[in-house]
Amino acid sequence: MIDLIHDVAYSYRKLVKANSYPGDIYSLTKSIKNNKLILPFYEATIIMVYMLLDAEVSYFVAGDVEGKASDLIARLTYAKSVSVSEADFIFVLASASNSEKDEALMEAKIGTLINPHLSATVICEVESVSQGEANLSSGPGIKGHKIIYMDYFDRWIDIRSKKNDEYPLGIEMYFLDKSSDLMALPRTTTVRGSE
Amino acid sequence: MENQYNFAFFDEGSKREIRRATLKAIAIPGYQVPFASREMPIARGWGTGGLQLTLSLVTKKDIIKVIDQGTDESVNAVSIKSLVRKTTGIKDTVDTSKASLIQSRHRIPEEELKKGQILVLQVPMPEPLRFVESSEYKTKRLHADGEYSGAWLVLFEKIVKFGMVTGGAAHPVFVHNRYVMTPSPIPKYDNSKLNESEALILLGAGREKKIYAVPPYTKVVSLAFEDYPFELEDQTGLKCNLCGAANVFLDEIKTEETDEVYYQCNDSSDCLKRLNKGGKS
Repeated sequence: MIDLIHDVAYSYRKLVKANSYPGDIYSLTKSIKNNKLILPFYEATIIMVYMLLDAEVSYFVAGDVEGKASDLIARLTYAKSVSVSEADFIFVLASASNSEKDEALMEAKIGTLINPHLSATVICEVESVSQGEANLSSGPGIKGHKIIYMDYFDRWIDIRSKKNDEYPLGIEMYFLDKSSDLMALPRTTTVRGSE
Repeated sequence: MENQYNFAFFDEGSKREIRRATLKAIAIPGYQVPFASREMPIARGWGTGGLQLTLSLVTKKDIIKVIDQGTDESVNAVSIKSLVRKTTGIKDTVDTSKASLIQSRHRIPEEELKKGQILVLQVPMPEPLRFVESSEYKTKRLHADGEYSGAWLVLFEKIVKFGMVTGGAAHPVFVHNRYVMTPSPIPKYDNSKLNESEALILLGAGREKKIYAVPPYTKVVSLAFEDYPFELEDQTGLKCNLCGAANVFLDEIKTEETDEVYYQCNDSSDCLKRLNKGGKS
């Protein structure tokens, strides 16, 4: 079983670092090695569920085959399953179709000027956070510029930049891959597209 | 470790709520994220905001340093350190470079912080516009509109009254070209350390129920006018009575018997390090 105190705390610190240094990659392998649950999503996703969700927040799962992921999250956390436009946390599973991925991002809430923190956090399962198309990123947490690599991300760049166009409004994106590596892109990170 | 409490004192639900607020704070530099500040075993106004951040962050692998006005040994610092140690079993240190987590009241350590370290600052008054607007809803609207005339007016009135921007601490800063932020009551001397810091800086106000952050490598500019530029405390010609350091933030100490005034490093562990390396420079 995942240790809900210490494994979650270690993972949270990785997530804090990932948000503080966007584009840096952090491994969650150690925190999930004791997972015994059979999961309808990546193992790294379960640690995010334990870390961030409870009855106070809402979520939406894109690419949820037969609703298994949503059911499991509800049972584990008591969080509320809502429509994508209302969700505090949006999980985009690896099984999501391209249109489901795009819709999840387009519909995500971006907060208001008075309460920009009331925006969605999008947790995306991707093939790899260290391979794929090269993209140039900059912003707080990045010294100068940094190259980030990811497949499919080129498709999201335009949608993401439109969502984050009117800063401080915007969304946070956390990327998890098959190897349980984590990378985060807060709304302040500018991604300039393929190099 | 004493086990009467959960690890790091809080129940996991409380940590989760603080963690969610912290993540949003890092994502929106300088913006005050409201959070459900918990009752703590120390009084509000004594560092509960910083303590809540620390307890939500701490892991078994951390080494913590707690300072209060530059010293590791004041009552506030010792009490907070003791609470963290007793509820987590982690080690503490006075050496800034060895700490992974640093909680501080009103100072940023002299020693430059490194990538991966986290500095948690305790904040009594997080709202830079509170002196000109008492309504929380209105200050939130002013932040939303980027309407900071009030913050400029406070500085302007000081210049009109005193011919200079008075006030030694909590000089407001502009973060990531968007939010005006109170950097907690750190001396003006420390303001430049916020700019492009390698470490993450988190600020917690327990009584006011706000968390905000300055992520690493973020542009932070102290508010100033073109004709009245930002000026640090004048310590020209002064040096520490113990280690002889000159380019550090100094405390003025007056001996009551003789009225003699002397100066001493405010950051006690930095001063000690210098003394151990070879005495007066």
